[in-house]
Amino acid sequence: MAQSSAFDSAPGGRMRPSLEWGPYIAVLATMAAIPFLFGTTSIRTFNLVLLMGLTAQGLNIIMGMGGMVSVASAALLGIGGFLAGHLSETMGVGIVTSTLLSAALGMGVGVLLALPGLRLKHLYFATATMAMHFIIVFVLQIVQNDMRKGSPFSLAPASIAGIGLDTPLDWYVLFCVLSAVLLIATQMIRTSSLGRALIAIRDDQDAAEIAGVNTVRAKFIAFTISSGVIAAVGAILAFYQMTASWEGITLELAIQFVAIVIVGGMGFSYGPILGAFLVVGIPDFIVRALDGVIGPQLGSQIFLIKNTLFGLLVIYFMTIGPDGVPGALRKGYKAMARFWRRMSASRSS
Amino acid sequence: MTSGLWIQILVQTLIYTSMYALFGLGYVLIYRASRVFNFAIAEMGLFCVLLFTTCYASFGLGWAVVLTTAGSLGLGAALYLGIFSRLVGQEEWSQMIVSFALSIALLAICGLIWGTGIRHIDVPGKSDTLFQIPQAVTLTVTDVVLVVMGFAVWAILSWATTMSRLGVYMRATAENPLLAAQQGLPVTLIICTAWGVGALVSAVASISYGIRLQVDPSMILLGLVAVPAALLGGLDSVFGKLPGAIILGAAQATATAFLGSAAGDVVAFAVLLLVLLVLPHGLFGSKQVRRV
Repeated sequence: MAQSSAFDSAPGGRMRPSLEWGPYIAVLATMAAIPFLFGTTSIRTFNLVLLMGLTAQGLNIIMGMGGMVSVASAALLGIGGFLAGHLSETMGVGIVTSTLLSAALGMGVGVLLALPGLRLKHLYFATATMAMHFIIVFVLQIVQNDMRKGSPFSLAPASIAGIGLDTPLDWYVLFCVLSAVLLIATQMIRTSSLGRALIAIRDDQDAAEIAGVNTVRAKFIAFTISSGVIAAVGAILAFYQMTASWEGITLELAIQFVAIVIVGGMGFSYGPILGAFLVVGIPDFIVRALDGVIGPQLGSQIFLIKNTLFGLLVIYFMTIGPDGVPGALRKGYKAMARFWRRMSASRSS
Repeated sequence: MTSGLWIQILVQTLIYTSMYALFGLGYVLIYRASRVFNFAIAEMGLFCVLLFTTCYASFGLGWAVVLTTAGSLGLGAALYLGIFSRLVGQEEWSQMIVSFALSIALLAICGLIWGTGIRHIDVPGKSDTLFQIPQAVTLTVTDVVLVVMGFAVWAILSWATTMSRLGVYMRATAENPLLAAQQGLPVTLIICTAWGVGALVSAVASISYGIRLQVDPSMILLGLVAVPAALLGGLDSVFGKLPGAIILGAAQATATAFLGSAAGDVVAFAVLLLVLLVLPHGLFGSKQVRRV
């Protein structure tokens, strides 16, 4: 005797909750609850987490699905930020148009990035993207010296459709919406033919080729999408910070995105947000707490403490088990799902 | 175009080459023994050179050399035992990420212990001039000693890690740890040795850089630029490090002379990108590198 429930009934007629969506619903619910739980003062930390998570979501398309570790994301962020900065300064272009144009520019750069990606694998590819990082940063430095005589770009306050983005909470809402959109988009890519082609490439490129996967095409498309997303986030980041400068584009930042994707779980759609919270959010919270306890004499040490915590957390999460945090979470989740199934089975019988 | 400029480029090439060969050797030693591409080599070198400055200030040169040698060997072994031995069996890229994370943490820890300011190492006779062309080249005794020492260390270690018994053990351990252990080889000890020696060569490279110029956190860029040197010569080739380092050193010295020092680093990476696109396994790497 089946009771009506919030979950769809499966074609077999038996009541089956769609467990696939559980993690996403949980993540989104947490995101919505955060301003109420933590108050608006620590919203900045979550904004940072979400921004890092958004970039990592873009990176996750080539890294999580395609298995290609790229450290060029910080440079792509910089490209998007520079374009937004230039457009805002010279023509007063708003955040929406800037973001779209940055995405287009990022897609173009993504094609360049795909070239070594076609030929190189793993460490060699990672190093090639590192080379690209330094080359792009060098070019951006020249651009900044030329256009701004070395001083950073400064951007006008952002507004979307007449609504100004003034407080951190406004931005938080925007970042949450973008994260959700990107989460769904990544999930759609994952189940599309492109996503399956990428996963096949990650598992065994030669086998994928033999099976008829057009690896060149799949890689080109994946790099284009991923780079476009990251450059778009770069434009949004520039508007959020109201400044863009080559000095903020460091290899460390690029490495942080890679670490976020790995800690959150390669290829999991919700992984980047989880990873960003674990390795960027937690250090930020600890440092804020320390700042409250010890006070301002901490000064420049804050950055060092944060980086130390970041590195140690990544190392810790990588050594806790073969599958890291997502492995542990999945284990717990499966146990919960088993429990749930047993409960519903006993109820319907 | 004066001949002085070309001599300057030549001298710079030699200096860069000796350091890149050493750093490259550090990468390769650790990679060959444990299949970890350790991006934290440069930060390990920074840690050791800061240790050296502290010991030098308190105990004098002799003790500083002894303590830094012991410290770098210990650091390498401790990092392997503490972190990377727990990752055995995981994918190679995930070990690479851990080394990235380690590099960030180690750099920050160095900053917390020693501060982020600039330090100088004043060894006796540091600025005795050996050879000089006014307004172009100044070659000090220190330069010559350090370059010669760099090449000597590179040559000895190249021999020790390829031809000697230890080298054979290391290769056996890298290729099949299980079989090597069943043959009675102390696998952990061998890998620890490789890590320790890897830290030691990066310490030598960092200290010689620190003596010639200065010690500050930005010197880790040197180790990163040495990654192209390691890959150019082929990742698993010890002998390939020297030609790789020469190509890179020459490109960088030329670019620095004509375009400025910021362009020098970028040119090094551009060279790497070009070579990798043409020869994905470097100049001397074996083609069978699996799942790097």
